[in-house]
Amino acid sequence: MNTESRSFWRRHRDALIAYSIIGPFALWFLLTIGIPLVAGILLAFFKWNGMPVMPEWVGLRNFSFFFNSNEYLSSIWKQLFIGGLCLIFNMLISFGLASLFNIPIRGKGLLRTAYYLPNIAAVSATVAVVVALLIPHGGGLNGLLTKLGLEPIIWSYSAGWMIFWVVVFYVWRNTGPLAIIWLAGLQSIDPTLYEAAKVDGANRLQLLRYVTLPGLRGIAAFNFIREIIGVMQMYDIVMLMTSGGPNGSTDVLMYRIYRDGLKSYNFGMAGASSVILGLLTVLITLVYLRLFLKEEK
Amino acid sequence: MKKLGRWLALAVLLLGAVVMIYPFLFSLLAGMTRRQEFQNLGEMLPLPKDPTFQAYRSIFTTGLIRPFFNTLLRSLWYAFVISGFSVMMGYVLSRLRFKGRTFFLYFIICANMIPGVLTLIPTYIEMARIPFLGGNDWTGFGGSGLINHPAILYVLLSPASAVWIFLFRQTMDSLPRDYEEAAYMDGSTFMNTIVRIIVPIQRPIIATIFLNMAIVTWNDFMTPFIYINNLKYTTLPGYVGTLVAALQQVGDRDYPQIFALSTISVLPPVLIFLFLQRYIVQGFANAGIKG
Repeated sequence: MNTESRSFWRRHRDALIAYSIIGPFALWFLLTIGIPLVAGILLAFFKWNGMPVMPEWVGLRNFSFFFNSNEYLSSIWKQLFIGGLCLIFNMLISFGLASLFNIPIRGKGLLRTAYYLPNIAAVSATVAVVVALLIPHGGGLNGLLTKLGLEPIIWSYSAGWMIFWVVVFYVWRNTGPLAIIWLAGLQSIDPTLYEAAKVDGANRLQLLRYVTLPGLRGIAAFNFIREIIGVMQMYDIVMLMTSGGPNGSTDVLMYRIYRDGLKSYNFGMAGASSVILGLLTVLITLVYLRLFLKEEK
Repeated sequence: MKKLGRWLALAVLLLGAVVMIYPFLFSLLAGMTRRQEFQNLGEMLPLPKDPTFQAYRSIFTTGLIRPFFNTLLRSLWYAFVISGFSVMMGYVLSRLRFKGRTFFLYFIICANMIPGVLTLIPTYIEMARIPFLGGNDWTGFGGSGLINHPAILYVLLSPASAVWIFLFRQTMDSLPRDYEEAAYMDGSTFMNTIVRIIVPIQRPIIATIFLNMAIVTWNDFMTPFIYINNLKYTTLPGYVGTLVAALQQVGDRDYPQIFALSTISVLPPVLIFLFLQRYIVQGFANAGIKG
């Protein structure tokens, strides 16, 4: 090796090592996420059913179909509604749990394990329990209702109840880990702040409002963004528990995208819906961050 | 007063814990019932009158051992590859100075936030139309590409994996450079330094990445559910997913079979969690604080 190339190696050593490590990952990312991301956005402007013919350019017609169709519009509303319920209850319950975990009690470690456990099991394996409990004749819940002298309920005929059970399952599965993050946040707040506020005569509610919540702002942003992205694309629970029913009342947009794309090969509409749902997700995240950053000033 | 509050808190937490554990117990017991018995049971806790392990045994007799090993292999693959990339890239992004470093950092942070909805359908099309694979010609048509192909379980990348690279970089940033610099002084090469110095020091965080990746991969039933329609190539949670989805249709139901398979598919991650949870939970909380 001559000196010139050796000094080239030495001069660019860091960069060469860095690129040779980042390169393969970036390539992998490009092939399995980058290309689909761009292709998905392009798909929204075409009409294509996957056959080996050129996709037909339709401009914004997929989008105008979306906004003129009650079915799609109500799907997006259902995603927001059911997702919103999941998010709100998950946030409140996990925060309550974290506050309880913050109290010094014995046996906390074991309890924490129990709350984390649902997240360690696959959705497909645990959702079956809810499905079985809701069997109209011979299911556990109706058996219980009959024993209590109440009328059994045909759960799968009632939109309200099915939404309720979807939310229950979502919270059951996701609340433990969220509580752990809240707890880490609660414990990172400087205890002297509480002491100082107490000296100033703050009551419990004021402590929460002026010490705890401001101290949790960063954690809250992290949790909210995580949850927003999560619930806006939630469809696995719906698919396995209700398959969109009864009468499409739990047919969230993400489930519709899944069916448009992978069952009826209507790639154009799947693409347009994906772009709309993706943009909406980003928009909600930005609005949240905007509000949150504003308060910081 | 303070004591009463504590007891109350404990009571609420205990009650909640029962709710958290209950489905696991239900699943375990329901797997021991008989088919006719379960359908007419009407109990919140399906205690079998005459417990049978037939449904549990069926994993050995009906060829389900193969999906089990597929799940295992897939979990190990992603656990190894993503921990490897996290260590190497986290190190590089923390220690080396090169053009595009800031860009890659932002890239990693943003990648983590890409909504999966945008890539679900196009990724499927790409995998189906990939040239020269699965009977496809050079234009990508003629066959089915990687759909229903065993390799599909190993080639996809989840944008969420980027969070681990970021987490490792954060941990590297808070580690003094003295150790590596001493090694470099003694003439250690780049790879040697990472393997001999960095990996041992950062063992806890690597355990976090490895275990979390393994569990998340194990539980990802959607990928096999979407891409694979063959018992030989699917994973256990994926197969359970197809069985549960079929419950929405009219037809024969074998609940004990579903619950036995659910229980078996839940068991490995739960056992790992019970023994190694300090790595899993700690890393998760750290991701929250640092992220």
